Order: sequence, then structure tokens, then C-alpha cells
Amino acid sequence: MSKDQFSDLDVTVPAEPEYLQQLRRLVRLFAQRAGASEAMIADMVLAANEACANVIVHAYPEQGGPLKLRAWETENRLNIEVSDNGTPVAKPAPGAEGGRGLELIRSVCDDVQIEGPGEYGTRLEMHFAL
Amino acid sequence: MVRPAFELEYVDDVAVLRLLGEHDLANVHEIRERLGLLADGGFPVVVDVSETEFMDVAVLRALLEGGVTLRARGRALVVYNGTPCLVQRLLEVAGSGLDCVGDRQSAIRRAGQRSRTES
Repeated sequence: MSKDQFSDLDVTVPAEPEYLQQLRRLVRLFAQRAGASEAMIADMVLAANEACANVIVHAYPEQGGPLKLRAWETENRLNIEVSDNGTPVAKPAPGAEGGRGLELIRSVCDDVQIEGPGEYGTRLEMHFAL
Repeated sequence: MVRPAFELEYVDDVAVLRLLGEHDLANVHEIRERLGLLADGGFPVVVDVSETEFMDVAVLRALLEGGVTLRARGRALVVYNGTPCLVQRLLEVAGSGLDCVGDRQSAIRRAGQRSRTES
């Protein structure tokens, strides 16, 4: 198994606020092992937390569901994916309730890709250049 | 695990609410409750995040809302943010609208002065 496979992160938790702190710990550990700077680790932790918080607040309005967090390293960058199986919800307008989290994610990541919300939930992928 | 904790101190008729540990969506209701009680008490408020290990946008929003509530009652909410840290980065990228001061005494003085001006 390569070093990269050892560094990968793949965790699924119930979409509940009590899990946020543990998820931040895992992202920090992943970034440290990948050799990220303290400034970059701070940005990754902030972005991952907001993406997970968005799932908790918006993805499952009526009943709970899974929150999936993945992180992996590719050449010259670290990647984090946060996804859910939730129902489609309206995308918050910038600056509106909920919009500030997405603005923060865009501010601290080098690149962000969003798929959904759709029939199979939402997938948010964040990239950080090493 | 670093549990969120609060310390409250009154200095020169200003309530200084210190946030210790990590604060996020899981305990933001506690921050809202505390700011609501302080607003009811009629004191200007300094929220000390200088040693806060983490806070997220939900907490930031609660501070902004707390500031609006206090201002409506003629009182100010000032954030004392101290040295650079994770919280500093959050304030830089998403903290517009908060009145942040880097020195504790200056933050307390400012909260008191602005409350006198606004009342």
C-alpha cells in the first residue's frame, strides 16, 4: 500500500452537530500527515467544517441521514469531499442565512466544485494546492 | 477533545464573555442564550475570542445577531480577538460586520464608549 493510500480519509457519520469536532480532528490529522502548512491546515479545517455544517443544517430537514467526508492527496494538491444523500434544497443566496458558509469555503479553497442538490443528494469537492 | 467553555467577568460596567475551547453549530444555542441574557442585563458586551481554539460561521452569525440585539437596546458588542489563530482567519474571511479590536483594554473601553454614544 502506498503512502497516499495510508493518508486517505473516508468516514461516514450521522449528520449531527456533535460530530463536527471529531471530523475537524480527522481533517487536521490528514493535512498534517500530508505535509500541509499550518495556514493551509487552518483553511482546510474551516472549509471542511462549513461544508459538514451545511449538510447538517440543510440536507435532512425532516429526518437525519449520513454525512460522508473523504480526503485524499493527488499530485501537488489536497482534496476534500463532503457529500450527503439528502433531499434537494434551495441554494442559499450569497450573504443570506447559510450563504456565508459557502462564501467562506470559496474564499479559503483554491477550487470548489458542487454537484447537486439533486436526486442523490449533494457533493461538494474542495481543492487546496500544496 | 477541547470542550467549549465560557467565563464571564464584569470590568468597568462592561460584560466580558470569554469563549474557551471549540465553539460550533453544536453549542451555538448556548452562545445565543448567553448573549440574550447579557442584552437583557443592559450591559455593553465584549466577546473575548483571543484564546478560542475554533469557532465557525454559525457562531459568527450568533455574534452578529447578538450585536444587532444589543445595538437596538443602545449597547455595543465588541469582539476582542488578540493574537492570530484559527479564529483570526475566520474573522478575516467572513467577519465583516463585527467590531473587532486586538487589545483587551481597548475593546472594553470601546464597548463602554460606544454604548454611551448609542444610548
